[in-house]
Amino acid sequence: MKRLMTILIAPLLLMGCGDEPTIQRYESTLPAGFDWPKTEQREAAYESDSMPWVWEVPAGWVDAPEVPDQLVADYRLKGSNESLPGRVTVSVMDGDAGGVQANVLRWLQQLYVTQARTLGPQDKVEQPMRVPYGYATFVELHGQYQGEHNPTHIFAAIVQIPAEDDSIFQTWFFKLAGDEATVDARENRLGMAQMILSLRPKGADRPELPGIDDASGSGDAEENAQTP
Amino acid sequence: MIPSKNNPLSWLASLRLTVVLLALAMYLIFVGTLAQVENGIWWVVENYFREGKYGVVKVEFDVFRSLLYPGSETKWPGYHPFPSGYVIIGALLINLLAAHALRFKISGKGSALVIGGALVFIGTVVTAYTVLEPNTSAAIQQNVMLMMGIWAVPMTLIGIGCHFIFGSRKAGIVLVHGGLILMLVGEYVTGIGATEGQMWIHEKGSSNKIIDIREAELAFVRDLGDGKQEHIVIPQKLLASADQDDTMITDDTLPLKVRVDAWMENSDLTPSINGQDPTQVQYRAQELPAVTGTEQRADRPTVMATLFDGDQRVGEFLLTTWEVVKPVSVEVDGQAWEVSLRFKETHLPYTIQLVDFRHDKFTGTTTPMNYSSTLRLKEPGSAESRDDFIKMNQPLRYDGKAFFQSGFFQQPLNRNLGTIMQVADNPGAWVPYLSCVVVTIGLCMHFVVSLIKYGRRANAKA
Repeated sequence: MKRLMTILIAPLLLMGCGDEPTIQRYESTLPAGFDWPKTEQREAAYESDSMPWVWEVPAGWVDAPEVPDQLVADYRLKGSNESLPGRVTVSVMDGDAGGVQANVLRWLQQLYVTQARTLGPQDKVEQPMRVPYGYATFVELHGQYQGEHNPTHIFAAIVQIPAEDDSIFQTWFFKLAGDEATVDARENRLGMAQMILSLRPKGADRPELPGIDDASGSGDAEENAQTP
Repeated sequence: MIPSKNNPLSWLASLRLTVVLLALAMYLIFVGTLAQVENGIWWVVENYFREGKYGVVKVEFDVFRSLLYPGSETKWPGYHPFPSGYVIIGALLINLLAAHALRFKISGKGSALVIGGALVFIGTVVTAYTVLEPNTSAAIQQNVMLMMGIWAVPMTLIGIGCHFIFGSRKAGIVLVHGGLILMLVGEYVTGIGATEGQMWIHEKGSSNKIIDIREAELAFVRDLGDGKQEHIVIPQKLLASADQDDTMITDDTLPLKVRVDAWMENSDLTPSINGQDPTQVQYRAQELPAVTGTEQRADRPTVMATLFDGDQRVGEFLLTTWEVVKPVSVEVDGQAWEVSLRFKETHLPYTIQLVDFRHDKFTGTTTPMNYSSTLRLKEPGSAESRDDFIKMNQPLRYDGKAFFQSGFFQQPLNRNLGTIMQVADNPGAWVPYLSCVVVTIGLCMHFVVSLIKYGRRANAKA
């Protein structure tokens, strides 16, 4: 019918009727939620000649189809915004990898439009915290709005694994990037904590994950859950 | 029969007029091609061919600069008026129809005329059914060759019908002219009804929004609850004319009055740290020349606007299509509105989700071999969904629209991949194909009839 109508009204153009722009009002429906793939909790591994490691990947996290060379793992998780899934990356470097401050500034530069040299009032770099095989420094960074497709927030952990001589043997980076609601979501923070606390040398016993192992049990467990 | 010079149709049907109109069309296409260098194809299509206000376009002398003095930077002043593409096509259409009315007389009589009329009617109904019935039309348009093959059947019926009605000598010519008329009408259909835009979706994301990066709009958006939003949009042309005429944009539907302090068709932003709050970045806009046809990027309009609630000034805002600037939140009569300058949006009633995106490269290189997307289409209120796979030259056709795989994007920070689809909705897309079938059958008929006639003449001489 639309085509037929178009054919019928087309000759009107010959009469010189122009299309004057007008203010329009209409209603739209927000996009339907994505059927996020259902994945089970699983274990991932980093095979290395010096020391292979394993960690747990929470349920609902999806492996990225292609993992960039500089990363050891790359996951997607459901974002609060349909236009922007969250992304969790894992990378590792020998030694201190430049230290915490240099890496925090690097992330700040990724987030801000202009080059940032200092932390903002909402940004946090926590004191290092003991984790089963090292010390984790948790970092929260808030960036400039860059549009609905672009992440504005980072929640990350820099995990330093000490060597026998107290030097730093390896540094692991766990980074969650997304919009504010995705990065602040409790389930995503729990997922990050599960991954970081479960990091261990391959073959080592799985450490207990307080607040995570019991989170799926009773309702009390949720209250006890401690997220960084 | 030679038409009388006193017949009012004879001037309209004149072959001289045809030649003049074709010459005008050739000139317009020539200057349009030159203008495309500076202005881009869409500007030329709109301003040279589809400008319908008074049927006259301005051909600027500057278009000849790149041809006569390549490299010259000085703009040439002045222009000459010229009939628009639509006016020329319309005149050609009238010329052709007048010629038919005057020169092509029905020669069939009695039962031949009835049979011819019936065949033309049946052929027309079958063709119209394939075009207008949505499911059949969608099925056929999935395959262009199949579509043309199917149309050849009713068109042959129409050709035979024309043979009975107009006689063997003129049937083929009538069909050829019919095909040309169809093609001319098809351009009108495309001009009025065709829309084109892009859909950007992150992998594992979803969207129901088509964006047209050739045009911006100032949008007031508020949530209505139940997953619905209200949009009130002011088109780019109104913003530009309000800036030029120094007028306030007011409308009963608008929650606020808008005074355009500066309109920039293309702009760049310079960030600076806010002196009072160093964690915040503020922006200053500079106007840039509009992008030309040879550039790959799009214009990024910016508007400096002052909003008024009645006579009360709400504030002065920089609104831009650059994504780094957030929409402005305002409250009017207890309703929360977000005001933004955005690329023109069309919202679909259904959602398309990007399940998976693949970017295949030739082995051992970074040269792209193929982009492809697995899409999931969800109708509102329906638990059902359908999966589709698209790749280059294999679009998804749904709801009269074609979703072509045109590219991909990757967010620089988190490297999330996404697909870019070109969404075309052209109710006249089928017309050129159908007219090609009509013209081909007409030419074949004319050739066969001429061949038989030649053969008979040769036999008679022998």
